[in-house]
Amino acid sequence: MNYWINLAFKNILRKKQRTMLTMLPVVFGTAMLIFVLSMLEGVNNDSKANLRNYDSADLKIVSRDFSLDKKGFGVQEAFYVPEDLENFLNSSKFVKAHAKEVIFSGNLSDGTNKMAVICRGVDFEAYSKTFLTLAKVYPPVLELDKGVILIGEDIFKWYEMPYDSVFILQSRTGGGTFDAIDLSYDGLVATGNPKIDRTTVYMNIKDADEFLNLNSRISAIAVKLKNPSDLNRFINEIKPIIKKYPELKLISWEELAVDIIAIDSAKKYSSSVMIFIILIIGGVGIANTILLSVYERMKEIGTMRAMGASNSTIVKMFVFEGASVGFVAAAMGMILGTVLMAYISFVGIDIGGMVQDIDIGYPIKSVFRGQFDLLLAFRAGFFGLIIGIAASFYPAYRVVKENIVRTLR
Amino acid sequence: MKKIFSVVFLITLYLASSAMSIDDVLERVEKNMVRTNATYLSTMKIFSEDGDRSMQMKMYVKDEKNVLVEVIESSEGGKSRFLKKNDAMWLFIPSAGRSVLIKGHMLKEGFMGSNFSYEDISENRKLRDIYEITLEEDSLYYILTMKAKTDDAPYKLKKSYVMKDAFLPKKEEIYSSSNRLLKEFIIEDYKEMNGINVPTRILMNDLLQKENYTEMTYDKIDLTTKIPDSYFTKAYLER
Amino acid sequence: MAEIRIENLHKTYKTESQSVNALRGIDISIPQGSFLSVAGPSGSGKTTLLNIIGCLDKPTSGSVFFGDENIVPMNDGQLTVFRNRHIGFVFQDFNLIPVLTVYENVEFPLAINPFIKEKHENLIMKMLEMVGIADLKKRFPSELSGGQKQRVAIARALVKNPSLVLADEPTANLDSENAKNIMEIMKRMNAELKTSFLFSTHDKLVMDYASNIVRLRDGMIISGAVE
Ligand SMILES: Nc1ncnc2c1ncn2[C@@H]1O[C@H](COP(=O)(O)OP(=O)(O)OP(=O)(O)O)[C@@H](O)[C@H]1O
Ligand SMILES: [Mg+2]
Repeated sequence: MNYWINLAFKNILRKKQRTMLTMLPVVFGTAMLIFVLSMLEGVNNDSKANLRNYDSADLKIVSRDFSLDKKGFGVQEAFYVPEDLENFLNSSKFVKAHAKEVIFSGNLSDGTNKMAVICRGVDFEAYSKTFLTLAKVYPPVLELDKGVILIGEDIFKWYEMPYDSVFILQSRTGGGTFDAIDLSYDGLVATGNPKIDRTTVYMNIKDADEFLNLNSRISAIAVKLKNPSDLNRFINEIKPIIKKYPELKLISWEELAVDIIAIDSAKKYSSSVMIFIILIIGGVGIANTILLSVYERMKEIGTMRAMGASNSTIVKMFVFEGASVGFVAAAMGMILGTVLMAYISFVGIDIGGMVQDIDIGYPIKSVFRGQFDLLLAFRAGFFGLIIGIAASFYPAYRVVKENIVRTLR
Repeated sequence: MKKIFSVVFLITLYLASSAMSIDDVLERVEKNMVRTNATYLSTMKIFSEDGDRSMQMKMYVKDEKNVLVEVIESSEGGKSRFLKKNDAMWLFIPSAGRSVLIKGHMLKEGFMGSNFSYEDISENRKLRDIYEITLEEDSLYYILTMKAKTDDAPYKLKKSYVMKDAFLPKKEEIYSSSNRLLKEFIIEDYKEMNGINVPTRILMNDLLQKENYTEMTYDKIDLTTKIPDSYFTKAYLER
Repeated sequence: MAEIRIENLHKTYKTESQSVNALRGIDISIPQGSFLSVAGPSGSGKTTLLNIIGCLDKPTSGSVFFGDENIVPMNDGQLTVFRNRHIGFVFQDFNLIPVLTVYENVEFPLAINPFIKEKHENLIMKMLEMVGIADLKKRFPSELSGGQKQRVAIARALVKNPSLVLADEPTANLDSENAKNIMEIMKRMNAELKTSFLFSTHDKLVMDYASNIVRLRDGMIISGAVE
């Protein structure tokens, strides 16, 4: 074996410059791959965190008819909170906090402009423990009084109303009656989650209850776990209780993340396109280099074959060379990519000013961070190796198909 | 003597005025508003800050449970038909090639993107059943104040200013439970036909939005030609 | 391995325009330990004959027996194994692998040969000593003279202890001094190892070393067919 490794490396080093040039696309391709995937993963994590911190918590208990794409005005299907469910949530060892929400859609008007909004009636204390939202209110608030409204910063831009002005929130009661409530503006909500900032307003849950005539019914209980990875264990624990109430169901944050997951799969698709392109570019380069060296070494190979080297030995030799080029290149790419990945993961890129007005459908923070994932780097490196092997098969195959006598001439 | 005369006058006036009970007013208004066997050609104009739109439609009303509306022209080019049959409402969009049942929250939405909700034109229940009604009057109007008594009433609070001479509401005001005026319907014009007063121009103002209103004018009204029953079928809707 | 018998060997090269009868009924018998030269003018079929005996090419008809084994019907894989076990080659222009040292070049046949159990280092060093270049083992081919290169080639051909070494004009690229040396070495190896040598040549000097000479003309033997 040592003999062949030695031979392969000596052959690779025969044309150092050419080998370097061959490796370049693989090196940069691998590095780019790691970098971009890390970035996408970072975006993904950000949006998942955004979803959980501001929108979905870890889990929601909702009415069976709760629908993500409910249209029109009015309150989401509301339900009474069973006492044993509440007791369970208060005592479960998995639960960090839980908060009731009344969720309804309506029109928010300042008398001049009217905007469709999603309104959440919440209790300040419980909600603050379950979500980060109320910590992102400017100016900061320490409570959510009756009669006040907090407005997503992007909605607020539509109104340009002074602090302390009155908004009219118009919706339909639980029974469907057209009604409106006057609420005074108390702050704007800037979470970085576009769904919240662009569409959501917050009010006291008691206001919402009275306004919608719900008699203490609610739309959802959001549950935050002490440890998000306990989700499945918690679901198993809560299931028997939910089963008792056929009007209720559980939705985990992942189900609420369908948009993100859709983007996720689009992302996976585009990254596989990227991988494919790198594979082609790198592979063609390596195949070309191996093919060149095959033709240059035709007589040498003929000699080896005359001495009794089998076809498989010759193929292995070239594949080993290709794999080595691919591996070394991929390893270099891995190192470069990992350095870049470490940078964007631990330092981050400040894109605050850059993307303020760009709508990419993702919540964007001003400092963007990638995800540091060594496994990703190894996978990319492994790819380089595969490319090298795949690309050298054809040239090697070509040479063993040649007539020995002719190659010796 | 003078004093007695004035007392008698006041009593007469009182008797004359209270001669109209709430039911009387509602009945007279209903006679003008509810139509049977009517064909209209009407134009609806929707004004808003985002731009104005208009559409022309033909409406066939057999009675309150059989209504067919055909949009024959609209500024957006979209054509559609809709049928009210008993309590169900169907919308047919020819380009989609099928009809959908309008139900639930959709009923609360604006009819053809206007400020009228489907509910505004589809409510079959008697006002008495939905609202607690009180009557006041001044020299020009009977003022009906309607407070929702069921949780599924279309509006929380509604005031209707019925013209004493025509028995048509000059204006209807929609309030929130906290007495904020949210929208108003205004009958701008009407004419007398076959002994009833038929509105010919109606306005609906959304007061939560600047310069946002819908205007409905009836260009042709035919109360005599018999409409075939076949018009009020799903088959005709989807033809 | 007993003698090698070549019976009624024909080889016809077909090109687009014509067909060339390179060998026309060759019969030769080569006993174990021969030191046989094939001579003849250019184009007489020497290389063609050596290629067929060396299992590199196939005859149009006829048989080549190594002992009882006829190599003619064998497929490529079997021929490869056969070459690996039994045949060593010395080429006119040495054909050393340029990236490998002298030592590694000689090691090559052992690296691909699964039948050799003896320790490679011993075999290689023994061979290098026999051809007299043990001190050059770390050099690369580019650092050797033509004669030295050919000695490496001989060591390489013999290191796996084949029964037959084929050398197609081994001295054509050497001056007469070096040619003589090479012939001396081969003769000595032939004597010591009892390996059969079959070489082709134009060179009178080379022919003098041969114990037997087969003369070809136009693909036929004109003298020295059977020993
Ligand atoms: N691949 C081939 N295709 C067609 N003809 C060939 C081929 N190889 C050899 N020949 C022809 O076969 C004949 C014998 O050729 P061969 O190479 O065996 O001669 P040779 O005796 O080795 O000559 P030289 O002394 O010049 O090396 C020649 O006429 C040659 O032109
Ligand atoms: Mg020749």
